[in-house]
Amino acid sequence: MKSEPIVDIHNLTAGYRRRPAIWNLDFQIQEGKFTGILGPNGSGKSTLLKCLLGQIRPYTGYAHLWGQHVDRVRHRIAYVPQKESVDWNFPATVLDVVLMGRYRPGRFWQRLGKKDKEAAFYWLEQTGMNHLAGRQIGQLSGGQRQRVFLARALAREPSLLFLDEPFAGVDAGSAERILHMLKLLISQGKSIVMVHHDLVSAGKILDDAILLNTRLVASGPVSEVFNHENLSATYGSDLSILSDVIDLVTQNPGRFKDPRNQKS
Amino acid sequence: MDLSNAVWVFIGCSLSGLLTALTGIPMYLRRQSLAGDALAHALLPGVCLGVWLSGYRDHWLVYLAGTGTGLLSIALLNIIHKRSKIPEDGATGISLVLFFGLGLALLSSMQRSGFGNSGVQHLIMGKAAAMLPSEVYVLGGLFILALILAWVLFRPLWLFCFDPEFAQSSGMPMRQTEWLLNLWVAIVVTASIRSIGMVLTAALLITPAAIGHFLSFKPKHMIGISMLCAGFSGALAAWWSAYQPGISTGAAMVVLVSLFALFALLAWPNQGYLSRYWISLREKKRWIQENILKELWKTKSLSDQELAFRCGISDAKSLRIKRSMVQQGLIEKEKGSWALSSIGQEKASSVVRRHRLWESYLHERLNLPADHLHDNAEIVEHLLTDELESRLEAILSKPEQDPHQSQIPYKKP
Repeated sequence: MKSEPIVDIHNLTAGYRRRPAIWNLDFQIQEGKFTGILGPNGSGKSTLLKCLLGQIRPYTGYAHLWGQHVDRVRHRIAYVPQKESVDWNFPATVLDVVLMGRYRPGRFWQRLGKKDKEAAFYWLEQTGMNHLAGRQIGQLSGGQRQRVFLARALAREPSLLFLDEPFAGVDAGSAERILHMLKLLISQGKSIVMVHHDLVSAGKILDDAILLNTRLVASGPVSEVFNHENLSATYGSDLSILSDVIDLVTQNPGRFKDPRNQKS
Repeated sequence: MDLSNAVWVFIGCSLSGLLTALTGIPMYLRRQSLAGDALAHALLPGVCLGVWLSGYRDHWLVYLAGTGTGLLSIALLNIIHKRSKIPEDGATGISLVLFFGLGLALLSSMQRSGFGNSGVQHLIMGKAAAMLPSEVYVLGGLFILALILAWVLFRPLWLFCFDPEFAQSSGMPMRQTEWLLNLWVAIVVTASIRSIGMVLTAALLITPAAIGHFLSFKPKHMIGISMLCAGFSGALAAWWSAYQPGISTGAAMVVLVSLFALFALLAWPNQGYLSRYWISLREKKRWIQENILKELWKTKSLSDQELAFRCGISDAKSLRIKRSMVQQGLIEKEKGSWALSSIGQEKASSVVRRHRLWESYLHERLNLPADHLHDNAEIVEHLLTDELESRLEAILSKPEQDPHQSQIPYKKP
């Protein structure tokens, strides 16, 4: 069975404040697969995810979804950010947050209807959170917060789901529930791209892996890329020349940007 | 026409309160409260410029230029923050003083060259006595527009404020939304400068939202509470300054809305600091009472000194508590020593039962050794509810004795 590439990364260099965090990446992600982006801290995992979501514009190359820029296919994707990225004292109930997943840019002026509420409750039930629908989000545990975020993303009914470290700071029960949901999505033919840091569990749950350490170390099925050589290249530090060049680029007053890449 | 002028002022001040409160909520929720402050201060150079160019304080150019410099200050803030390592609050400070300083410089040079009485000061501090009906119409129109926008765009706006990353990934036009919001804030602040004044508008953008957030986590309640506080403050301020013409409406509104905030922070049932303190005192008293009941249950009767000693409280305190317990009919004094009444007997056995059930639970389910149980149970006995108690009974299947081989006193069926 041959599957189509859903994510196409070509010669991608990107970073923040002129400091490249990922360097000339080339790889593809197959449709219907559970793919993990793996690498040590500071290896550019989050930068790669931000490029895929169109939050930052690359210096060179491109990141395409279904062969197009992400802006044209946003209705088909959903994103589960790290739960630390928001203020949980925000005045909102669990249901309010899940309903945020029903926002559609094309009809932002339309108020949410009965269908949206039903969808929200459906996904709350699927993630085992429906009994907490009226609870203030600040009262939730770490695992429950992550499940609310997952329910919100799934309420968009995406074909491609991005997650940023969904298992960090999550209790065992919630982790199991989240993993179960993700596997269910894969079995329904959806695709998942997940930033992950735990190598031990990665080997068990993922189909494919992208090994990242500023540059691409390896990509492909877990059984092929998880070998001693690749892992030590990912988690070891043999990048002294590359990091010196990155320092040079950062300190250089000129603009490190491909002029052809100004507008996507 | 004194009365009708007062009525216009009354309506105008209430409307500016409602309008600024509603507008301030997204600013507050995005943690950009101080950007609102910067924007309000940055109206000054624009307003001065407008007066200087047109020669009138009420010319449309004044409002246009004010809104313009207000927006410029936000643009400057964003540029400083995004292009350097200066954090957002630092950039806000820089932008605020730069524009306000420019405005003051313009103002003083205008005063020297004969614009002295153009009344710009009233726009800084707010003086609603001179409010024109047309200005009240503008405020009313803006308020109705704000209500409609808030009703229609409530969910997208809440998402925008709560989680910009998710909003962006779902395709919300972030930059446009942000600038439309800023534009809206600039328009609202400009429209309110006559009643509140540009310097104090920030207080009405922030404080009502903060009160609402403190008192409720439900979005709609939060919005309602904020608007109520600010609307009332506006109405009361108009009334206040009508009786004491020396007081500017802006200052009066800010004082009143701050009083609301103070009241909420201190005295609101269950949430205010004082209420929480009072609840904790009440709880402490309940614990002491339950301990007294427990001691009397074990010993049958105790003298005053023994009771105070066993419960670890002072004589004076024990006197007060005993008096209240006598009033509740829990204990009685017989021949100089204390004993339980029949109601007290029942309550006391409930405390002992909970203590011993909890010890059994800790021993059996958490495998704690027998000498680790008592201290924990001394606390939990006061906290267990009837529902938890019956669940404990069920999962332990009603043990006869606790781990220290004391009888567990069950309720007679």
